[in-house]
Amino acid sequence: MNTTGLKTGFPTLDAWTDLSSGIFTFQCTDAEWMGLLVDQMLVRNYVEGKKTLLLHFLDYHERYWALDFDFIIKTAKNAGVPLRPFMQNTYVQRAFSRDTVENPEFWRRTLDFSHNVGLVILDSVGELYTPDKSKGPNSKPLSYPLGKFRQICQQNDNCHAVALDYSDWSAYPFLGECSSAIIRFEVDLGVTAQILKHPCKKQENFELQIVPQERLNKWLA
Amino acid sequence: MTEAWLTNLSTRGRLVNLQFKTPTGQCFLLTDSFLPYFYAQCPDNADQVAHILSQHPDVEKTVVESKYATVQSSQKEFVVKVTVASSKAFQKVAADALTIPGVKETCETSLPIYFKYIMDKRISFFTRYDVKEKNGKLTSFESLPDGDLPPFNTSAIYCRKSGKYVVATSKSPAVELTLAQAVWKLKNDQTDVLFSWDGDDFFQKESAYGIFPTPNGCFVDGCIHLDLKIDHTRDIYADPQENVPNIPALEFMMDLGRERLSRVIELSKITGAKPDVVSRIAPGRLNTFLHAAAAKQNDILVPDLKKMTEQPKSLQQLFELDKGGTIYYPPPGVYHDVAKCDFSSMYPSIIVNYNLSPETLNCECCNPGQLVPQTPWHTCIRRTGVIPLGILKVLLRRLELKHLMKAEKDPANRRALDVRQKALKNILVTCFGYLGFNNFVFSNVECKEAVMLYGRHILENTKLIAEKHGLDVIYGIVDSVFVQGPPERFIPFTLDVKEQIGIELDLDDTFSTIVFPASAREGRAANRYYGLTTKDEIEARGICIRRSDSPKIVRQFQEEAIRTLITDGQLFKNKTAAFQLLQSYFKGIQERRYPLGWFAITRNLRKNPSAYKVKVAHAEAFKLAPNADGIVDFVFSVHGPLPYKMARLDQLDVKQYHHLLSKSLAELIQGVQPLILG
Repeated sequence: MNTTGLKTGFPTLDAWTDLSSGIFTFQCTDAEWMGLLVDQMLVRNYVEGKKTLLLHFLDYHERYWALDFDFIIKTAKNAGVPLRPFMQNTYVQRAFSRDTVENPEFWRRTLDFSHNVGLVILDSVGELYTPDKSKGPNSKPLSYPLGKFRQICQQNDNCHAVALDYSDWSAYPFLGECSSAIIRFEVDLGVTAQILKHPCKKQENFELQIVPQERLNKWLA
Repeated sequence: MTEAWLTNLSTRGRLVNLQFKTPTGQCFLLTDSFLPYFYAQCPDNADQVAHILSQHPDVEKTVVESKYATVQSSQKEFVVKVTVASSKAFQKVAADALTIPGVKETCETSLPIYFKYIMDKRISFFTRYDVKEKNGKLTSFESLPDGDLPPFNTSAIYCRKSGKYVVATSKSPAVELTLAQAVWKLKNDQTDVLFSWDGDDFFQKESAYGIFPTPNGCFVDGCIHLDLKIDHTRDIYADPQENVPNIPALEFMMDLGRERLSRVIELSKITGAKPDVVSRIAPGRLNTFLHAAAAKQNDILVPDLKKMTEQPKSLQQLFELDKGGTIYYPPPGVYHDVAKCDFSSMYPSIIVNYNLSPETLNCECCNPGQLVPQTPWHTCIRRTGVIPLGILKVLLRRLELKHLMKAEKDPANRRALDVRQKALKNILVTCFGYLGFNNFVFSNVECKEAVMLYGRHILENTKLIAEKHGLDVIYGIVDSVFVQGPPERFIPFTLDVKEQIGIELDLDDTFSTIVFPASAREGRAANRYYGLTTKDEIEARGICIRRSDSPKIVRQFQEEAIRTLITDGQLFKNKTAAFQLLQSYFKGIQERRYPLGWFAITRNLRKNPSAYKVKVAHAEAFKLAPNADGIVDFVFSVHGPLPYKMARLDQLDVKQYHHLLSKSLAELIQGVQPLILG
């Protein structure tokens, strides 16, 4: 079990993610903000000798542009993280299509691989939904892939896990139940966070202070 | 015994109907019995499953066979071949099989029945056979050496708004008829191939007189039906749509049809897809037929569902592997004595040469096998993979046609060969993309990454070889290089590359002068150049002359400007003359010397006009004359953008066109410094 909390790169937010284990669900409709969070978390939670696993489920045609290598490398250098070991121990598992996440073979291989993991990030919950039209008779419910995601955490001593949800709906009940904390972000002129669930804090809003060099492109434009 | 060509095939119930054509042009039909089948994977209790399924009322018989159950299996295992009594019960039996304990999955339930027949009998369309029959039933056939195909009786048809059909056949001129009369006429004139324009649409409402509408298209009993509109759309190398009228005249359809038919024949023969089907499916889908045939040849079951998943990769691996082809960006400038060389089907050749296939990449049987550079992967050295096996015959056939084309003097024959080799190119250009297509049962991301990796290595090695020949590589992009140097060294260079790398490098064009302008941000730009070939033809990329939305006035001007600038290779001396040309065009526009049509801009609307967040000219024009196609021809007028039909020459927005012309000249000289290299 971890003894330190989940680091997000934003001190105000870190105060709320300072739990030694468990699943965090981050909800936000702004993909740019979520991408920034993912890049920060990948770097800031690097621990020597541990793997980080990013379950990068997104449309195949967007795969080449979805990981901002330049930003990740720059962030790692700024944070003083040893670059080569970090790049070699941060793994990306991509699903080929929405069918893949219902494929037991896919999860068997992922679970076989997922040992000695310090952090697992699921990007994103929405990609686990199979559109009704393409649902076959053997289509599995959403709780199946979410259960597998939870299994990865459990087999790694309840390591830190983050599930990203880009929808503006309430959290899926099973995920809400599994999550230690649920935080919803609103991005406008700044970033406001709302605690929807937390083991130690009551439901409340707070504003995130964004460091100037980490401003979103839309604010710079 | 009869010598005949197999031209088509259909299945009905327990029978297969085979259509043959003799060298003298006679057609005849033979039948053969064939029942659909699928495979059930049950390695632990195959005998038991076979016994249970044999009790099923719709199962004809079951046989335990030994096959590679998946494309990645290194050893054969027991599977049950289930032959179903009728095609109607096929899906039900397959679904029932999955309920039997021990059955892991079913395979080959989605392959067309006729395709299985073709594969099992090892026959192909448009191939010559020695056929034996008895009472209309096929008893045996032997393949004969290829020869010229017999002449086909062709007909053309379209449907008038009145609902009447206009039909012309090779034996009689056009005549207006009812559907029943039209079909009778087609049969009477022994039509082998029927060309229609939009036939899949106007036949949809008919299901009588031998017309069979299906979701995949409309088929006509007794002949091959080519809907030329659909076939044209599916062909990425077809002539642009602007050359084809809305409903072509029957004579035009006959000529176009015969040309398209040669393409269909080539594809049908090599893939095993029926000629009616070939023209109605995407070129990529033809890969499925090709590779399913290769899988069956290798005793590998064709899965119903794709199972292969991508391996987890570190950021380091992704950073190194997950990228496309190499690009050598050209320094902006003017160059002389430049050769453009293209690799012939580079990615397909890599797949074949390096044996890249889901089952050969990281096979279990080889250690170490052939190592894939920069990766921990290896490829199999013992067996040829399904993907290379399927592609190889297409590659070889295309090379054969290209060589015939080069040797052919007659322009009409050259064009015919060109149509056929481009048909095969359709498959080759899609086979690489298909490796990464999630609906392709043999797709594999690591194979795709390996192909791109080898591609990068090949281009880097090509650069080294060029330098050894004293040639400079000015520009390179994925599978082509522009080299500069003494022209007598070009051919030896290409031959040396072919010998060392194993892929043909064609000398596509030689330029007396070629210019690489900078991008809009003053940097080096890929895919942006213009030049005069040694045959005095303009070749260009990425500038107005190549853009489909450039109005004719701009394209006309730019072509003249290019010749003014570089005919003598002295771009910087000729800049003044180019600006004078621009002024003369300005004056011409002012004086309304050019026809209105020269100012029309054609654009496609990609979304609803009201969905655009900012005002865009073509959307504004479209609002005034909306149409179902989403295509708008418009002109900039003093009243704003107007549909071409509503515009008038005296109301032209002269300033706007001056601006377009100025831009088109600026992009020719953008960032080109007065340092002539070479």
